[in-house]
Amino acid sequence: MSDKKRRHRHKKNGGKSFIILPIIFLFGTYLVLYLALAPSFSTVFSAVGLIFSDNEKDYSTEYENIFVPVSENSTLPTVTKEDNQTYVKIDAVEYPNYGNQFGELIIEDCGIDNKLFFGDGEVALRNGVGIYNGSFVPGYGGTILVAGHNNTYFNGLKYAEKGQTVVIRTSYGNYEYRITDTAVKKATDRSAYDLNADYENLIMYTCYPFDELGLTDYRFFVYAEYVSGTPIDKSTEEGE
Amino acid sequence: MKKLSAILIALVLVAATAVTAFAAGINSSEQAVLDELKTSVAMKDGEMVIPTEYVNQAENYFNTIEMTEAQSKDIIAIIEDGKKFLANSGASNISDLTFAQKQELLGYGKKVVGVLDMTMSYDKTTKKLTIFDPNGEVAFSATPYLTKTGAIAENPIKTTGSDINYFGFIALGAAAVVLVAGGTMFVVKTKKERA
Repeated sequence: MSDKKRRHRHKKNGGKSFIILPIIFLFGTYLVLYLALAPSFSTVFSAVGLIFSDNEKDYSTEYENIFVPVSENSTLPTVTKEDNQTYVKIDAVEYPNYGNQFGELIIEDCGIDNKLFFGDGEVALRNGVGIYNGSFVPGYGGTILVAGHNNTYFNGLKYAEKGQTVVIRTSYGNYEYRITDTAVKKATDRSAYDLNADYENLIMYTCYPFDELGLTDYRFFVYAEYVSGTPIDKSTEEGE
Repeated sequence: MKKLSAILIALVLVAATAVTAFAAGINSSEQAVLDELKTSVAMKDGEMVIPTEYVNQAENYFNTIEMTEAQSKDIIAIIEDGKKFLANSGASNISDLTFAQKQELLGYGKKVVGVLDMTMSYDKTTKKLTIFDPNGEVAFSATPYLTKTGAIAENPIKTTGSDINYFGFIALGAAAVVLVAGGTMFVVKTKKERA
């Protein structure tokens, strides 16, 4: 092909080849890169936003917060039952709906101090840690199964050790648990928890290994036994 | 004046000592429904029950409402009818039911939740049954399934790894392929033209 012919063809297609196509390609590439990297950058942007923002972030549109901390010297209405055990009166407990933030979960030794949600959906795990709604709330006398992301709110679980204290603060009382065991188990291992348990016990878990990206087959479980905190009176019948 | 002062003081005292009461706890009507949910149904391969975690979810929901005795009786009657239907269906589990049978079972479910002003829908694609509370909020969402006594139907363990976007990776990969292919084509074409 002669130089003259080539120049002529370039002239003819110049608009399409050298202006429109590069622009489409540029925007297309940026769009694809944005779609690919936006989730990774969103955490950084959120953190930067929080650091430089003068205002407190308003999460009210994403979830409802019913948590009102119980002060040290406040007294909640209680009832003493036949077993001489004191219970929090049920009508003083605002039982959380799915998705509500209703407390805080604190493990000082692990640097964990997180919002506690009822339900372990996306919104809950994006903002804190969440109780599976097929398990029960603290004080109810059953299994409390709590999930949290390994790269954020439950990253500190890697420092969990036997004997450490876990505190759960709710609007109806503060509960203390002692870590009894940690274990790495398959996510599908159904022996890792017992949702039928008729005694209060706390199970926290996150993906394992801790700093691995993406889906993992394993979970790091932390088991804790109930130490203190006034149980909830489950029945509405009076039993003094 | 004295009377007015007394009334005002009384009002202030009442306000100061008032404790907010919530519609919580499991009353006898709710307990009766929970007991009914825990009883088994005789199906083709033996006794089947609603999985533990589903009953727990019902218990958690009942803690947020106040069920009347009449509502409880209505619900139990519908559940009993539903169980009879399942027992006579000839199926081993809900998934084995024919389409028409599934529709009929869904009808029982809708009647049950309707007593509490709730609604129910089934998504054929995800095979998830969703129950909405009277405010339209999701109260329950899971695959309808029955298990042998004590078993759990769905794995409650969530994906708690990094919040990774697989679509992003696929898109990035596709973009890389397009870029490389485009580049190669350009080089080949240029070489051809120069030749």
